[in-house]
Amino acid sequence: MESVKKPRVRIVGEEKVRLKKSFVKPWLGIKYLFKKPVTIKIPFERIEPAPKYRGFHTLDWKKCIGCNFCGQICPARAIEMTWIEVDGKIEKRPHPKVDYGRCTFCQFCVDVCPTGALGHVENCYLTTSGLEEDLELYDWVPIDPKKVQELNEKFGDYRFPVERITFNKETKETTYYLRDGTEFRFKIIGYGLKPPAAARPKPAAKPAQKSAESSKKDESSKTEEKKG
Amino acid sequence: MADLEVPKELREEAKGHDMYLHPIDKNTYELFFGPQHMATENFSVILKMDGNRIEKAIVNPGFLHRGFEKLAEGRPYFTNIALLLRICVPESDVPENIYSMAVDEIVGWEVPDRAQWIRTTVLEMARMSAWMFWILGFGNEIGLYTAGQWAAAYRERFMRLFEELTGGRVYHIYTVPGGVRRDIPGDKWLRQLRDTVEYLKGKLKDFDEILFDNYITIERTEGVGVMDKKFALRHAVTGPNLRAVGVPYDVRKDDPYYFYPELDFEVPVLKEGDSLARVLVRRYEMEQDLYILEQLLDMGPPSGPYMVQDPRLKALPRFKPPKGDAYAHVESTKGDFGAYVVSDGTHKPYRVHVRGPSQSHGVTVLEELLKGARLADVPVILKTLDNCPPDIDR
Amino acid sequence: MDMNEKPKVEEKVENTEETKPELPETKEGRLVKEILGEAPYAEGNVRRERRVEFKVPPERIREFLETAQKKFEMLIQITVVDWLKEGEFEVIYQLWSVSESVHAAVRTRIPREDPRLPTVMDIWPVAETYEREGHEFFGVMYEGNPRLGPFILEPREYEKHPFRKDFNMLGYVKGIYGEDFDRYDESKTNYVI
Repeated sequence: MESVKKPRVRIVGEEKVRLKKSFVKPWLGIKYLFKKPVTIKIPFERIEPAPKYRGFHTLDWKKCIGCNFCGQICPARAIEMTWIEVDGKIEKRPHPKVDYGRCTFCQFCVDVCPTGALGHVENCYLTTSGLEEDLELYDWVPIDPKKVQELNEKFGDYRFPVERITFNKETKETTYYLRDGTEFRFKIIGYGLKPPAAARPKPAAKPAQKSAESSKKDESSKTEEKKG
Repeated sequence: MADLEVPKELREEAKGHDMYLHPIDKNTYELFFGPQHMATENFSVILKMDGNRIEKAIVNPGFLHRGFEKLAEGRPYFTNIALLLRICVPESDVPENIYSMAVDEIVGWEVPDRAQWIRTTVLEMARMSAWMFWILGFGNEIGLYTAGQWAAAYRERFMRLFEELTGGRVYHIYTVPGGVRRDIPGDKWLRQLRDTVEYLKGKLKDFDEILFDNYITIERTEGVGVMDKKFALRHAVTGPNLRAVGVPYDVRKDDPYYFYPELDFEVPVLKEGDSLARVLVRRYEMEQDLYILEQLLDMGPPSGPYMVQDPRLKALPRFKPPKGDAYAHVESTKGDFGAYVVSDGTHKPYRVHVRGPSQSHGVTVLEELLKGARLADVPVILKTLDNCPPDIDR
Repeated sequence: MDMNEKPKVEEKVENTEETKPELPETKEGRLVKEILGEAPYAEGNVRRERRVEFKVPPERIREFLETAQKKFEMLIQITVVDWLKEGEFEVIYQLWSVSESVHAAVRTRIPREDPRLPTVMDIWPVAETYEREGHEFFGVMYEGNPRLGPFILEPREYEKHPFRKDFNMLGYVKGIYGEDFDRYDESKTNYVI
């Protein structure tokens, strides 16, 4: 577009812009009193989110190669790589864990994913009551897109597909209670890019950190030490 | 002002007032206007009042400072889009576009035609929805709430269109260096956009009736906050505020970008320089924006890719542009919005500096215009200048 | 570079630099030539269409801007860039000419230790805002501006100059917000706020 010559500026005179002062005209707005309102009654009516609305993430665990591109591009540092053990088998690569307390829903992580493992669905209801268990709920390793689709077809209200997440401190086992009643169990055995089995014990977390996340991490790092 | 000695009896008297005022003299007091007041959005003006007249005004910004420019220095190039667009809430595409244009210039990318068409359309849609947002604010300030409610409803139509195109409603995170992130969803979307444009063309007449022709609007704005041409130029006032004093400066005409050289539109210019002139210039620009959108739709999106083809984009987090710097600016509803980006060859920008239009007309100009105004004129002056505090704070 | 008359072809042969010799025969080229004629101490070149730039020594920046003011009506922005390795601040006055539709970047470099510049408030009153911002974020002293002081930041952050490259942002945030700050520890790779 650089080569195009600058167009002549056409200036509009005053006569075209100036309007007429009127005392009667504003009353014409009354005609809208008899028209259907544009507001929607929320519990009874609903707007569907647009297709490909940027909502919660999904992750195909088989495709994920743990390259940490998503963690690098994330503007809010919401993504942390997590080492996971399912049914006694450690996954070969770390998987991203998304913290919706930080996520800005820009979905750059989905764009950069080289294998297309990370995706997103239209589910967008993110409300908490501020309780500790709610805050833990919105910090998850995304689950398989097929499962989320299935739940969406069943409920169709675009809510978070998991109802409750529990973490057993003794067995380090995380359980996702999905909305249709099924349970999904795995163990989180470490964080970061380096595998926990490589005997690289993390430095002990500072005593100042008291929140659930750090305590969880303490637990995991201790397990590493035991294993190593 | 704060260190002035206040007599004891005046201090006692001040406690009896409804508002907490700081009396300075018998008839003079200090009034904190904002940041809760809706007209100021998120900044405050400290007014030294003599009865109902303003003697002196001191702008007190900083409530919205989030240090975006500093944060941008610590993040990769593409990621910054998700950050910088928060500088301008009503038209978040403007910061996206200026940053993308500057990075495009540093890298030397020739953005594909289709991407340019989409960017132009998105910018115009953003302008239109920002005008609606402005009507909401302005109508509320002068007590005509109906117009504001209508405008909010019409803005919803554009938000829906944005939702389908970009996947987000307010923060679109759509324009990236090198193009745009998604293609147009299909012909259905283009038809919807045309319907919306047609619909809004009819609705502008309603706004004329209820807001712009209204006795109250004209009485409240005429002769309020007058500035002249020399004052405006020396204070770097841009956008509709500059056009209301008789300078036909529009970035779309003077420094054309994207598809604007091929589009035919008019630049409204008035001479008075008062609040009414600023309102009317904006009113006419709405019409022009709808006309531009119509032309773009008649033109149709050119075929081709919507993103540049570059092997460097495969590893997006480590994308490194060459060394250099560039300044890019676009015309937003508030004025000339510019960004200056310096690259030192690493994967993070060395410096990003955003120039918001309110930086010039929100501080010194506002302080000058408020001198001698009445207290009831403060919201009118603020809203007709279209002051946007995040521009100042960033 | 300090000659008033510039024989174009000869200089091009002598100087391998691309600064002065090749001013194109466009409106930008003519504009730069005109301003350099009045201000021979500066260097100027045309970046591209509607973009020109000047390099001015800091002692004469005020003089130069007074000259440039005749052509460039608006001061769009004053950008400060912190070049930590060189130990210098680059101050860029971004001007826009409404009559000619040209953007000019007037660059000057000042030492990082004692950054001082004369104010341009009396040329463009809007510079007051820009200078206050530059003073607060980078600590550049604009001599003659009466309103330098806490502007956008809180008073406790004043004199810390957070936009300088050597400002420890993470440390500052941790000092202020303490343990409320974050749930993550610093072992995270490439930690930024």
